[in-house]
Amino acid sequence: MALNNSPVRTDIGYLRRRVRPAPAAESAALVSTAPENAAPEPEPRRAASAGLSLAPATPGPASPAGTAPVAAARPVVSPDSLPFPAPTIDDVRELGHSEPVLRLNARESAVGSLIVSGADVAVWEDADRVTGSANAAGDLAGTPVTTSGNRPLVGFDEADAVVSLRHVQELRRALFVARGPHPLGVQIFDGSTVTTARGDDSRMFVLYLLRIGNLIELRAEPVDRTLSDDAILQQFGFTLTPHVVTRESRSR
Amino acid sequence: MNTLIPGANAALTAENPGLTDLMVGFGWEIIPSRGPQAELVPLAILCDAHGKSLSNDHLVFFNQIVSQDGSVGFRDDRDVEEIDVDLARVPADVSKIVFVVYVDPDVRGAVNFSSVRSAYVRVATGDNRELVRFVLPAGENRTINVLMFGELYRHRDDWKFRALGQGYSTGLAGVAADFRIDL
Repeated sequence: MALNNSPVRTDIGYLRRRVRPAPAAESAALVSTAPENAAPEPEPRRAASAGLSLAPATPGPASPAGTAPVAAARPVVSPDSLPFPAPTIDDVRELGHSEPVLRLNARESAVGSLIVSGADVAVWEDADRVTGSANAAGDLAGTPVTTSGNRPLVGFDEADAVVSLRHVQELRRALFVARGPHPLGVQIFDGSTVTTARGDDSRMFVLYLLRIGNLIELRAEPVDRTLSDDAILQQFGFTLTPHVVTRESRSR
Repeated sequence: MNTLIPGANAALTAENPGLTDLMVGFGWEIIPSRGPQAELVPLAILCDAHGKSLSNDHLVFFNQIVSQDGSVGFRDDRDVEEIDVDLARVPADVSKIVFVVYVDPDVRGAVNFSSVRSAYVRVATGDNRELVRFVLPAGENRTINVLMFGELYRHRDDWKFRALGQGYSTGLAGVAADFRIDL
């Protein structure tokens, strides 16, 4: 069965929590900020809607008085800046048919390394849409992305694929494929782990990593086992960008 | 300008009446390397009267760039990293704001302060008039992976800044345990 590549349905009610609507006078400023398009944008744009709302009933200023202009201009974190609720890594032991998605919090998404064990192929797309892939044998395709810490944004370290979470803001999405007998495993800084389901004879699960704002979302996506790695990349819309090797200036 | 030594403090609001906007700037130099390099991350922890973080949301760092109340926020401008503090917006249950800098614990190495030189923290007014500076003493930091640079704390109705310079060899796990936060 072909993978459904259509955008995620944000109009389906179960994806969002319904709360009591705010009073009419306030609703214009507080209405829902559901994602306009649930495709993984680095900084999801949000559109006003008169429907569901995740906003609090009142704005709740942090301080009643003495607010300086600099502080007033600073965005205050509020529930309406969050995407729809999703399980945490503590809620899910195995990503698969019954629990296809989990979301890391801002700290889990940003500290240390996200380690993916069992991966044979890792694919990345950074915030500038620079795309490349690596495999466990050390082969690279497309364009590598190296962070200011002299480490690949996504790459292999011995047998494990590693995502540099210090630079999570530079990452847009990644995909990990396992061809071996073992499922994919994910470990984060605090030691929490989750695995992907093994699948069946015809289908297997790949691990899809999305960054939504400052949060990482992990999804187990079923794909046909017979598909090649290139075909899987194509299904997920990854197009490897050509890598131009630059050299020192030869003008002298 | 006031230069502090470890453990020393400076009165901020008592000596600068009307001061509300503070900028806490951090700087350092890293010895260049062709391999993985230490990546330093400032982190502000808003603490209660017992010195514990009020919650996991009372942390400010690059991926959580503003506290829930909006009093502490991140920016990156004149120093390597900067954090703004609006003292007027700091909630009354916040007794102090601790500024630590950790080396990102990447599994691929370079996770301590051994390659870090000339680290400092400075406190300035919103318009960058420097009030106090603390240059961390050079030392053997091969086992240190988190350093407490300093803290802003309430003293009666005023705010003071204390230079710290204490290191952790237990990393962010040690910080999390001491401040009761989930990292």
